[in-house]
Amino acid sequence: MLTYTLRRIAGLVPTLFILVTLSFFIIRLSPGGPFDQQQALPPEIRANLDAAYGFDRPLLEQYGRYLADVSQGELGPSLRYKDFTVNELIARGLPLSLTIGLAAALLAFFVGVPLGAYAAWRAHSVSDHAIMGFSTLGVVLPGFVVGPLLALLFGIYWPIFRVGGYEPGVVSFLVLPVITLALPVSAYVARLMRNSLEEVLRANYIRTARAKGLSSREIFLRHALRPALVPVISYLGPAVAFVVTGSLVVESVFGLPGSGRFLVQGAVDRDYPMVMGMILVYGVLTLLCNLIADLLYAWLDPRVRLT
Amino acid sequence: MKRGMNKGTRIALIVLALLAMLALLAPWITPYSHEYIDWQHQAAPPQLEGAHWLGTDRLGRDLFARSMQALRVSLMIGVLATLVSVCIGVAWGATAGYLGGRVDAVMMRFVDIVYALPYIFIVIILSTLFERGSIAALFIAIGAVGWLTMARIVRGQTLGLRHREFVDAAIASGVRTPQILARHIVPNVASAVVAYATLAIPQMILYESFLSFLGLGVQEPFASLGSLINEGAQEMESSPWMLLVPATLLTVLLLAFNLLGDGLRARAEGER
Amino acid sequence: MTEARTQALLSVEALSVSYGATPAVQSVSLDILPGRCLGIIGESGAGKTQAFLAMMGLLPPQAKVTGLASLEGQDLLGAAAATIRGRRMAMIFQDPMTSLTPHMRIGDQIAEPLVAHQGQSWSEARRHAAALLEQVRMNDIPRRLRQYPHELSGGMRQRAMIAMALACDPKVLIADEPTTALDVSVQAQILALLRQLVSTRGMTLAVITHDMGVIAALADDVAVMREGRIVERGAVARILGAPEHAYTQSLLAATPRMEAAGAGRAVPPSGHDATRLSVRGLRVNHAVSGGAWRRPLTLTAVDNVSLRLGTGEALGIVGESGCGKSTLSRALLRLGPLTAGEVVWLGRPIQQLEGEELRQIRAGMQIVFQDPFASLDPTMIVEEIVAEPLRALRPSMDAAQRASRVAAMLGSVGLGPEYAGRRSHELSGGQCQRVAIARAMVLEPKLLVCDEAVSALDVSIQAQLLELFEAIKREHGTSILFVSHNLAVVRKLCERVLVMYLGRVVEEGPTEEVFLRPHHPYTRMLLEAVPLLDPARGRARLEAFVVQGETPSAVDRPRGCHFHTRCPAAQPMCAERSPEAEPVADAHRVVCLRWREITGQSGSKIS
Repeated sequence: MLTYTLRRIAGLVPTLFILVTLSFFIIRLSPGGPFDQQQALPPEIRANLDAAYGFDRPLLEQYGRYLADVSQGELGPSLRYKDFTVNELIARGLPLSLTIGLAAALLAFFVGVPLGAYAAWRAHSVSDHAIMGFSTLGVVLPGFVVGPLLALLFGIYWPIFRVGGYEPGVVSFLVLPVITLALPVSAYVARLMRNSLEEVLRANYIRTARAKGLSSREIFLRHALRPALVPVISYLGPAVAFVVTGSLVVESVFGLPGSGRFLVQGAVDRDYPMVMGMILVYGVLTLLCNLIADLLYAWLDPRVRLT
Repeated sequence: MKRGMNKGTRIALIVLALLAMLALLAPWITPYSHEYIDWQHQAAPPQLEGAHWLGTDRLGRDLFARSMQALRVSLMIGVLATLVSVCIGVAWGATAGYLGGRVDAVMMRFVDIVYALPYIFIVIILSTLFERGSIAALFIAIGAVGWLTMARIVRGQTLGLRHREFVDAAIASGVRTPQILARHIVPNVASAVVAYATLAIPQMILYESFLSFLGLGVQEPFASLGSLINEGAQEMESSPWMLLVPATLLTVLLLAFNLLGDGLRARAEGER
Repeated sequence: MTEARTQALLSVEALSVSYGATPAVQSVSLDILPGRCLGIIGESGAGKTQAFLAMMGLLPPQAKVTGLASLEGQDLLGAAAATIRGRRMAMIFQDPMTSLTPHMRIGDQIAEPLVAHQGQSWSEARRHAAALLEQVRMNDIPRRLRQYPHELSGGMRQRAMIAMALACDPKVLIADEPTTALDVSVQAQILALLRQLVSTRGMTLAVITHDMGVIAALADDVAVMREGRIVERGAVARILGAPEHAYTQSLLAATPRMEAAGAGRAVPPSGHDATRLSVRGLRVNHAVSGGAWRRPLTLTAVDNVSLRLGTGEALGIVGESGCGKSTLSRALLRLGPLTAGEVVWLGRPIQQLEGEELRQIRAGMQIVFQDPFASLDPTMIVEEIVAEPLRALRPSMDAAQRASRVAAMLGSVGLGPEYAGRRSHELSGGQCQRVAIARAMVLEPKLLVCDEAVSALDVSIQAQLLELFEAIKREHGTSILFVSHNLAVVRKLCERVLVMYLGRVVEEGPTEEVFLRPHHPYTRMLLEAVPLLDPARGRARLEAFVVQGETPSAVDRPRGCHFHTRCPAAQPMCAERSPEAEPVADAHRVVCLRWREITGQSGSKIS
């Protein structure tokens, strides 16, 4: 198990490297530059700006310098918000985004798995169809549809929760965003769990467990649960990645000061360091989540550790 | 083909056909174009007998006309982007799966790495690579990353098939490799590909809507369902129909595609 | 009904199982007396497993069960029966790999019923589990307890399943095809174990099988089932010796026997041109990953094998799993990897051929596989399947010519023209295999390789297809390379035989000669492991079965003579030197260092 873990961690490095490189060159090579949005600048001022930020150097040299900076944790200055570094800006919004993301992920998992398990246990019954119906709906409805609808219903018509903006420490602002974010993931997890468990319950070794005279509870907990969780855990990586990126939408709809908007705005403004910084941060998060999911998977299924 | 064995799948198919027809025929159904501004009826609620069946938006443009135009855009992007994904994905996956060995390892490693990258960011970046509002660019951006899942699925299926005895029998019968791929591999992955492609279409539409919602996708005066929802969300307190009409349309569209795709996938897996 | 002087332990009356309109079991009645073994024999679909699953309460909810079944007077079909399952009545299944929970350790799985039913603590139960493993003659018990199912071999897994079933000391043990998935030598060990359980523990056993040999080895009483009904029952000696029902008779007639006349001696090929296939020093290596940080290992699947095959001759290649016989057959057909050696086909070396040249010679050498359904492309109709080789290698034929040739081929394998438009999922296993044979023969090949071609079929279908192969050999003069683990089948069809173990040939010669006067200890073991159809002699032979253990992994072959780790006649020198082939008699060769001494001691015929 330990060697497997180390191997997986070592495997992250090249992926991270490629992530940084790809993003760097794509964003640099795209048409338009950071200073194009503002009024046309006289050439000398333009040249000075370029020199100040190092844009006049060969691209490869810029790349090298960027790598050096990043390895020390320096993400560079923001081109749009000139008095701030990218580190500072991201640090302002990231904690909120992470909180929402984590809460949503936990909610999704702890709602989705039991629902799916129950549906499988009562396969083909009314409850099963109802849960799967909810699941289909949840998977299909995009966050930017659900968000406004929920805000309309529970924020305006029946004001149970507060919407629009955020006050530090007031959890009520976060409830609807978290639910909006968690909904599609929990729906998908429920369906995954249900199909997976239903398939496991048809396996030969479950028949053996029944032949041993074990109770339904014992069979479910000791024999069926672990293999049934496998596809769910496999999905966990992409799921958390989805949540992390989906917070973009939710922050936008509910007006929350998270870090998501920096990415979109940065892409539009060609604020290179900002975009790179965001990609790095979110990229690392995604990879970490995938890693944890992988490790959980290996713990669940001993055969995988051989790979 | 025994289509629609499941009642839900059949209903989904009918709904999709209806929506597609509606979207295509809309210009002949409604007297309004999606751009025409009706100064007298700005932000008017829906009136079934009146002029605007689904109401108008803030500027007075007929919501039905706009929604249908948006539906056309979404459908087109969804289908085209999926086609791009399918072509690249099938070619990539079948080659990797059939040739195996080092070729397979390299090809799938590439897929793994790109897959691990936060997808949505790539789409955002790619969409800013082109001028704003270029629809062609948009669907290339979306479809170009969507092939990953298709490649994985096709590769997995091909790997399983390659070691099946009928492939060995074909080799022993002297059938050449391109023939084997075309006659034996592709038809046997076809049902899985169709199923996942049908499920991919709503994904593409969703991503496009998401981009439009963020302001990165389709630009004025054109609309996509995502941009309509964005507008509607801003006006939802005063004119909720501006949100509800495109939201419902999008939901029904995605739901129908998903149900159809699920049904096809169940059938494909049952055949194995 | 058997005369019941003593009270029946398990009593079944008019048991029926149906799924909607389809009946699986139709009014089955039987009694099992305590301390005796009832064997239930039938082909696939006979309903034998369904009946016992009903008794165990393991059927899916959509199954409708009627009738009576009771254990010691207690009803088995009602809701209260749940207390009996696993405690007083236990069941083991056919495939131990999928029947054991993959993520639980063996020791825990065996201990589990003790904890659940007898309220033991886990540590107590694990100690009991160790004792149970001793009873089933498992080796290296402390290690096994902590291992997972995928780390054990087939025979060990089955032993673990038996131990698990015995945990709560049940009155009745039901064994559903307990040895079907196992090698013949392991099968003999498991059969001996089960027989011993009956005789020394007084265990009551019900064995479900399709193999008459297993019936002969284990059963005291026999019930023959067909299409959901019992067609005949009686004591084992009578059923096997003097069957009354036509179906039983046909089953016995179709079962190939070692004692019956075989394919006879081959007329030695006259002259060199009669030799079609000549293989010398064939070697096939696989690279296998050695694990995380280690370099890849080399697995030698086929090690220095040489053979010869003449016109109209059938050569059998026998051996257990891992011996390399399938790898060998694919290598010489150039369907699989070939590392070294020479393959001369019709006078021409083909081991290096590539591309178009290779394609052209394929017309002369064809293959039929083990799995009938996987052999046919599910998206193609029968006509297209059989025509495909013609399209590839006989491009000069037009559509009409192809169609008539296909029709002729289908006819020759016993399929009428109505089959031409069907797909594989509409055909039975036997029919699929016939299509595969038609496809293989459509190019009139001179060599037909049959890779376990009848192993997946019911015994009656098997007999029909063997006749078909016989006809192909006789009428077309096709040379046949018959790969199989079933010695009796090989004896029926093949004039010569090659015995393989861990990639090497250990003995070869005329089939009758090798089977009657085996000189290699492994060949002897194989022959002794084949269950006889005579219960008395069969059981005596099982008890005397001396070879233990299972075939070692091919990655880690023992040094010197590969068989020395299991050989009853092994000496220190066997671990140091690799034996070479030595002639025993005319065309009969053996690869053993000590064959002269061994034969001298106990050189008796297999009787």
